[in-house]
Amino acid sequence: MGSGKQQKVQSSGFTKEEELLLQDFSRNVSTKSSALFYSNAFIVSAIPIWLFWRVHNMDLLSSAVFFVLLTGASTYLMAMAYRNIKFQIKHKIAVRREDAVTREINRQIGDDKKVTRKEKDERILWKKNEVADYEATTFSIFYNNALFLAIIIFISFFLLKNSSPLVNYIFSIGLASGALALFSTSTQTN
Amino acid sequence: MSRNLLAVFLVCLCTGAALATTCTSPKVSVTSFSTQDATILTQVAHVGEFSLTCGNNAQPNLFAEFPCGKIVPVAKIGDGKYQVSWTQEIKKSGGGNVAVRLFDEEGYANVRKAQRDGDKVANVKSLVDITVATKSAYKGPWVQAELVAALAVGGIAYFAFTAKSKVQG
Repeated sequence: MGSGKQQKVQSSGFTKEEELLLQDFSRNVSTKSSALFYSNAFIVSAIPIWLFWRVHNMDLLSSAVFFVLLTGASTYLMAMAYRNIKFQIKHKIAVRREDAVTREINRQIGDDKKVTRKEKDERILWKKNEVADYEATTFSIFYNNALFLAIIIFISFFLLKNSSPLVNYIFSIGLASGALALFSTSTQTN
Repeated sequence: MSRNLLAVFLVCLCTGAALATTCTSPKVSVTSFSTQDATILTQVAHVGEFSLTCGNNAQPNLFAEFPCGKIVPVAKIGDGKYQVSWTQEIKKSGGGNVAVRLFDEEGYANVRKAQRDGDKVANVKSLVDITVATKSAYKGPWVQAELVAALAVGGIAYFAFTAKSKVQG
């Protein structure tokens, strides 16, 4: 790892450092992250079935088609919202955690002469990316779940309380997941 | 002559019959029951059951007068046992003691007479007064569960929203 040499990654043509920087701003999520998003989205989309079955007295079997369809659609929309919100906040979190991560890496490496400055920077970048990714993922799940459930409770118990349970279910789930997916695509202009 | 004798006999017979059904020194013991759960009802029911013991072992037909002024016949449910019941709007039923005045047939006739003459029914002497203890029914929780759920999840959503704004700010 010479100072003048740039480690080229053959497939993409970027250096390792550039790859890490790109990851910081990337909208792509890892398979692990994606699985986490979809499983969470499925759970949170399926929870209202219990609400409408036990509280709003919907028949489980006769409404099964609607339950399956809307849970599927909601899972997709929620996973999309998770991804978008994660993308929105990941870089902000990375900036906020930069100092702390740098301090921690410096403490870990200490006076190790074998580690070059470039390698240290790469480690900081990698660690910062990892921390920001983890925090953004968990926060995005928390944020979307909280809003999803709040919207569902508000619509189903207050806005559409006099509607039939089926109409109530369709609009509650549809509007909640749709609104979250829609608002997650907004870009901040500050 | 024989006609007069017959008339005297009949008068004596009626007076004797009347005296026989008049309850002397009545003693009453009351038990009561009220609707306990009124969450899906429009009216609640109160039942007062009492046993009447007369000094002369008479078992008269009774009439009950409620505080509102309404008079209803009392159901006889057994030997010396009576039952009086009524329903009430849920909003008006708060529980408490209800004073019920009981009249025998003679007393009821006096009540009717007082009503016809425009006199106060309260002035008519009752056979005995009983107090039926009524209880208020359960009308559902003070705060609806969905409101509690909405407030809780609303608070969490608000926290999430402000936290996101703080991160992005």
